[in-house]
Amino acid sequence: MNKLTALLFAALLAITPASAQETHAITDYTGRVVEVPTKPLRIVSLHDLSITIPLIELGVFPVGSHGRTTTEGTPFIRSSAVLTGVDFANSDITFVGNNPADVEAIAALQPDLVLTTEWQGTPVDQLEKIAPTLLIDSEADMFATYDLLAGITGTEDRLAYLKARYEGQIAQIKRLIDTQSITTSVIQGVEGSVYVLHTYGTLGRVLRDAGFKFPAIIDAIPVGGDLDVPAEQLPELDADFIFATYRTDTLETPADSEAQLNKVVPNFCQYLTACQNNQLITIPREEASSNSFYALGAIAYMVISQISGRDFVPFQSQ
Amino acid sequence: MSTTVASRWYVVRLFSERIALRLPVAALLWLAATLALLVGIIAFSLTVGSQPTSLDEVWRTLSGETVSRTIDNVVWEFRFPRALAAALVGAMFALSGAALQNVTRNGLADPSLVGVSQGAGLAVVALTVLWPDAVGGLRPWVAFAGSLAVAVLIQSLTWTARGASSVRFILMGVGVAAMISACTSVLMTYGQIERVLSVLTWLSGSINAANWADVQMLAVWSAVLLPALLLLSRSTAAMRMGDATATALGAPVRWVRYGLITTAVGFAAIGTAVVGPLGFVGLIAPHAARRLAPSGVGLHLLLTATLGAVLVSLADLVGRTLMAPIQIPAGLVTDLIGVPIFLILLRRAARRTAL
Repeated sequence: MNKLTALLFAALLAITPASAQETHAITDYTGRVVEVPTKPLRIVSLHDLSITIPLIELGVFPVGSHGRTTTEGTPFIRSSAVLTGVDFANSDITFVGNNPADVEAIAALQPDLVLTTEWQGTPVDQLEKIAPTLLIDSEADMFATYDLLAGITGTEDRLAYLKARYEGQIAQIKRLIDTQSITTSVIQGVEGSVYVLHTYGTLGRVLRDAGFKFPAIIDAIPVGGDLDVPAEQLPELDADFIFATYRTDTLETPADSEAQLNKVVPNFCQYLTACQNNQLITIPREEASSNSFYALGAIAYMVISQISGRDFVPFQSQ
Repeated sequence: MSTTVASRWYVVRLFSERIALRLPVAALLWLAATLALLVGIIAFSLTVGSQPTSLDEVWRTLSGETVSRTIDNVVWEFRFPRALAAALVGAMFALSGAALQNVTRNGLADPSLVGVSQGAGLAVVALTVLWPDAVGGLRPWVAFAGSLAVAVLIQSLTWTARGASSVRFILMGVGVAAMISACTSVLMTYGQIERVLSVLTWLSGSINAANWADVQMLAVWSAVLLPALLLLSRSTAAMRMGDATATALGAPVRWVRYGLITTAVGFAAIGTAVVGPLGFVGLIAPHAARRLAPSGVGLHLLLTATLGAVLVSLADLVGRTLMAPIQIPAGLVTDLIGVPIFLILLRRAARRTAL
């Protein structure tokens, strides 16, 4: 009889439907209140950079993800191979399309939670018919996104380790470099002007958290904002060290980055003292701009290797 | 009502022969064939997609049985409204093009030529870039307002003391469309990249977001605008012989012209509001209908509508399934088909010096 009771109990557990999961209410940044499973097991992410990579770093593999395709049509999670080592080809994460994602492919995965952004062209009202759908602000501060995702997936402990490691890396930079006396600048040539942000991705975050100074024109940009600087204002972006970036996912090289800047101002290097003194540092954009703790660490050690213990020609403002 | 079938004509007599319609049998057969093709495409599109679904499962789902929650969702909430919306917007863009070609007597007229699509695009991009916190559900209504604003602007610019001319309407439309496109480009260049990207899909003419509310809106407006267009068809037939002859035959030329323009704008505005701009459907469908089977204006309009519906349904089906889960917007597919046809028509028109 006891055996029969045990079997019945086991069968009851086995047929407990997903809808019986415990939930808790989360208010997203648009004010929508969503009942989210306390322990979601089948998450679909609809933004590779902003959601999928943070989830993987937190140790949670979504069952499906938005991604991009190569010119040969092979899907990939942008920057993930470099930052996490995980991609569609070597994981069970299913490619569900780009923008808009394929709502049928999402439905076929039978997710218990969909995480999306307003960038995504698949409407939230369609996604809500499949599973609870939470909107993530793709422009939010990186740490705010990680806090939110860790709270949703119950991975706060893992996030605490990642944060502790990053704090150690910043402390190491501060110990090795007198950041308060060094100015830095991050530039990128785009269609006739130089594109700058108040804080350029992970690179900007490391530089600001470590205490480096920035030119006045960059500090004047509101937090989270950006600016197209016309060619004639290029000297205002000069600093002790200037960083430029190039896309490695499209097989660009440092030469492409310099070519873009030369399009803005032919022979741009002669107008920047940092460049004249070999203090222009060109690095891959995947590490420089992604929402990733691995990228923060890579940038931290790049800064140490490029600046600490090195003689350099200080920038003299005119 | 009585009917007579001759070898080439089908005659319908109504109200004790006070009204008689002589319909070409060939055109009726083509209409029936295209309608059957449309039903076939819709039926096929209900069974194909990223979620494997058998014909039996689709049939049981449509019969009210819940095969599974996922299949129920996929068929009822995603595939069916999308297929119906594609057919309806196809018919609307096609009828818009037919009406514009009739009123301008220019075979190259298309809704996107007179700025209606561009007006909707500018309104939506402006909403997204300038008021990013505005509710996304406002998008169709804002697009509709943008289209109507452009139509009113062009009509008012075209109006003179001597009335309006169709050539002036087209030329004004081309100019205003270019100006609006420039304004849209400015907004997209200086808007926040994430927000701009979110409207790019819609600007490409994508039916992926269609839902039952959209289908309802499209159906209601079609039910209003199609009878209006058919009512105008009798006078439109007279206008094919030239304004002077049409006036002599008693057709209210000026009002018919305004009626046609308003109806054309209405069709295109509603279609654009729901799925974004779909180029070339309004250009291709009327020409194809004319070549398949010459007929009177009314039957030509019906054949044009079904051909437009077939074209967009097919474009959406191909875009949705060909490279799934990658979704190719239907607008890109219709552009791929439409551009070569447009160039052929342009060359023919140039040979006849009709431009």
